[in-house]
Amino acid sequence: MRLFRARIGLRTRLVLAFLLVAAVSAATTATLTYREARTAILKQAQDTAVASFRERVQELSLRLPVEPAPLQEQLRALARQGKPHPWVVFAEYGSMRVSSGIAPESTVITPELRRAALAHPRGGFQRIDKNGEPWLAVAMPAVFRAGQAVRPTGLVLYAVMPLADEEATVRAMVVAARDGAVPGLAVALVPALLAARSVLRPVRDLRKAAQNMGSGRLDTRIPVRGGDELAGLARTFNESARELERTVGELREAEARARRFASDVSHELRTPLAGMLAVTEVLDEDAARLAPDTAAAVRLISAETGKLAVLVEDLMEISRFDAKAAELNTDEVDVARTIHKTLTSRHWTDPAQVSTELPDGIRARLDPRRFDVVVANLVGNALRHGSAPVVVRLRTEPYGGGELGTHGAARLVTEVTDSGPGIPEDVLPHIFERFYKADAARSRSAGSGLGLAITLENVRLHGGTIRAANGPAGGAVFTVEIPLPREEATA
Amino acid sequence: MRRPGTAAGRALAVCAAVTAALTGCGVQETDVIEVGGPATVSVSPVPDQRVLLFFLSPEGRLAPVSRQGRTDADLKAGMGPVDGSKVMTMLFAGPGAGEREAGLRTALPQLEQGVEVESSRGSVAITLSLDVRSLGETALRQVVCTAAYLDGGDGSAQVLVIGNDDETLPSTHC
Amino acid sequence: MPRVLLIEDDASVREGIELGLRRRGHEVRTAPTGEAGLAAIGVFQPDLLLLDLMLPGMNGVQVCRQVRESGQLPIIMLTARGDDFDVVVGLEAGADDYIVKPARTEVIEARIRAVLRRIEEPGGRPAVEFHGDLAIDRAGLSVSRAGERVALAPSELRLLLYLSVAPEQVFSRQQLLEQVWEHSYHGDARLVDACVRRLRHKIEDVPGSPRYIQTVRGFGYRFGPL
Repeated sequence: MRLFRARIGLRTRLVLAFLLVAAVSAATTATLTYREARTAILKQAQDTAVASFRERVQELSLRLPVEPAPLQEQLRALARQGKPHPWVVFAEYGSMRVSSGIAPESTVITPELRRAALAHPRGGFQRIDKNGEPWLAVAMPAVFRAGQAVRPTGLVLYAVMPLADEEATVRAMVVAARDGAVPGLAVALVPALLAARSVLRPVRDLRKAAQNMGSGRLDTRIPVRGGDELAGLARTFNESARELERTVGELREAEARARRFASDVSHELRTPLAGMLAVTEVLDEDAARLAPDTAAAVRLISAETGKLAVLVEDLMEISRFDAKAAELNTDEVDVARTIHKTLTSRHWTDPAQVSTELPDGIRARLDPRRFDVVVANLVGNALRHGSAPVVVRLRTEPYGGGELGTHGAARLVTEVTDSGPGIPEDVLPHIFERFYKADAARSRSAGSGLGLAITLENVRLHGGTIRAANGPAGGAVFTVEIPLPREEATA
Repeated sequence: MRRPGTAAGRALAVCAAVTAALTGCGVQETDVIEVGGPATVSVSPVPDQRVLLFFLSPEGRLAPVSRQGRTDADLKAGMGPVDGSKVMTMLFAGPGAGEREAGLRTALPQLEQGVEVESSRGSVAITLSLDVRSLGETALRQVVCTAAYLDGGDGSAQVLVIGNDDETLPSTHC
Repeated sequence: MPRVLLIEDDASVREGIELGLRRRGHEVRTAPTGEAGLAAIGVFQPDLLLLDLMLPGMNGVQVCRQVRESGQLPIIMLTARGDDFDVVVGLEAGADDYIVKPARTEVIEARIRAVLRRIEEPGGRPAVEFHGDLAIDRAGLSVSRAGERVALAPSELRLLLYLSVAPEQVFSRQQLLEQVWEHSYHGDARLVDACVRRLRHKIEDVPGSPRYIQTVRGFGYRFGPL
């Protein structure tokens, strides 16, 4: 049953249940009607037969003991008066057997009927199935008036008639009931479907609403119709949705406030930093002329001001991503040349430090400034946490890993590999988190702690993915994949 | 909470019952059903002219036999009913040839002497020259019923059967 | 050494930048508001204007427009946010370049030098070139259209001169950033786009369908073909 229910949809089950009820009621009604009608038809036939037979028999005039020859004459006359159907009349008296037909004794009459007719002087009948055909046997004991009393003569007359006509009528009724029920069920299918629809519509609404909620549209509400259980469910759903929307709204509000605060703080820091950064050069130049302690202090301030400026810049950048204010200003560029420029402008030109495998001629639509940040952050990270030589590889790959077809969608793969010990397994899942410190003892790295997070955001802005892993040789491998529109995939 | 499976099971059961009822369609056999009374036939000779004797059918039931008593001429001549002891003697003589042919028989023994019949209003006394306690129930019924119609009786008379040793059976009627 | 006018409302920034630039030999004059700055231009006669966009009262964009109306003084904007709409508005208003605060003095000075650098004169060329209705005087650093002199901001002039040296050659925006603005290869391409728009507005008959500065989709810009 459970498997049955799991496989069949709610609509089908509702329709089936409806049809089942319709079928059961139709069948019950048909059966009861049929039985009543059958009883009426047979009762009519039987009563007519018994009454008319009695009437005919009462016209008999006998001698006692009964003499076979005149009786047979009388029986033949009787046989012609059969009602409602022609009948064959049999007479039994003592050991005498006489009939209106050829055989003196009937094969239809049962011993019970004989016994009953002899035991009680009352008219009676029995329906008998003889070789699949229904027969009616009417027993009529003959009595006579003797003084005050009425005494059995010992003669019993039987009328035997076929019930073929009644059988046919009854069978026709069954056929009629069946022929009426099947189209009736077909007609019942229409209200069944309508009823299923009316039940299922709220369910469907609910499912759609739940999907909407799931996809983040928390303002989804369901129209509440009527006051049934489904309306109650819809109301509960709406209440839950309202509460969820309120809670999520508060959370989002709080999160937005926190982000605005971070953004505002970094922004407010920029103005004083602008003044400070402009004079660090003055400090650096004059430090040599100061007392050693003062010089060290001045150099420290200068260096930290620079780092602080980088940190604030990175924070601003992350805030822009959080506020979805980061724009992608794409341009079609030669990717190898772009990477080359990135390395050159950072003075990473020593092959012992950074080597490249950059095939010529790969053009892609990128935001050059953001792609520069991605490559610079990855290479800088590799140099800082891994060890030289760092290898930057570039290639295009079709999606699915097959041959790069002329029309197939492709992706731009940029790989930065270092020769260090790799990244510990427990660090890998967190490597792109903000301010994540792989080593808890090391309080502050040379970078802002936001480099890889910004890298991730920039790659995402391009619709791409980035992943960190350890290469077979042990070094860390960062792989950036950016989808290429079809016509730009020119390898 | 009720499992929905139970409801479905019930529906199936109802369905099965309906199907079973429908399969028993057509005309079915019945037991013997009694409807109304028997057929009253006329028996000749007419009551005034007949003598009713009660013999037994092959099944052992009482089977009345109507013999010619008085003729139309006898009636016109004002002759009374056939003498009671004569009738009783006819009874004890057993069924005639035609009657035997129809399967009638008697449970009464042959009687060596005559039968004394004393009838008064509403009662008949029959004195038999045999040990009445040896008579079976059906034999006794034959005697009682035949006696009840003696002398143009209407069958409602109380009948006393008296044996040869003055043994009297309780009075009965047919 | 160039004379630099700095309009900046924050005292410490004003003082810091002034100190840094003066150490590098620039003659620096400062003003805390747009109004004061405009007044100082007439008196100080600066070679270049460093202009903070966020000013109380008259803002940086308004100052920029007003300066452009009266002359071709090179303008570098100082902005707190690199991606903001302000940058675009400032560039449309006629600024030649912009610097995101905070910036080291060496960065600021590099920008100043780039904007002020005279375009090298290619040898063997006539003093005045004619391209359609345009007459480009490389020696006199002036451009006239149908005989009428066109007032071009320094960045506009530099871009036009650079492109017209090699007509029909396509330059990517990265190349132009490097060559004309002396930015890194990965600079803000909006500088180029804004400058092209301004330039077209001044020299093209129909800025919507340009003859002189043509766009090559996916690659960059070129001069001509006419």
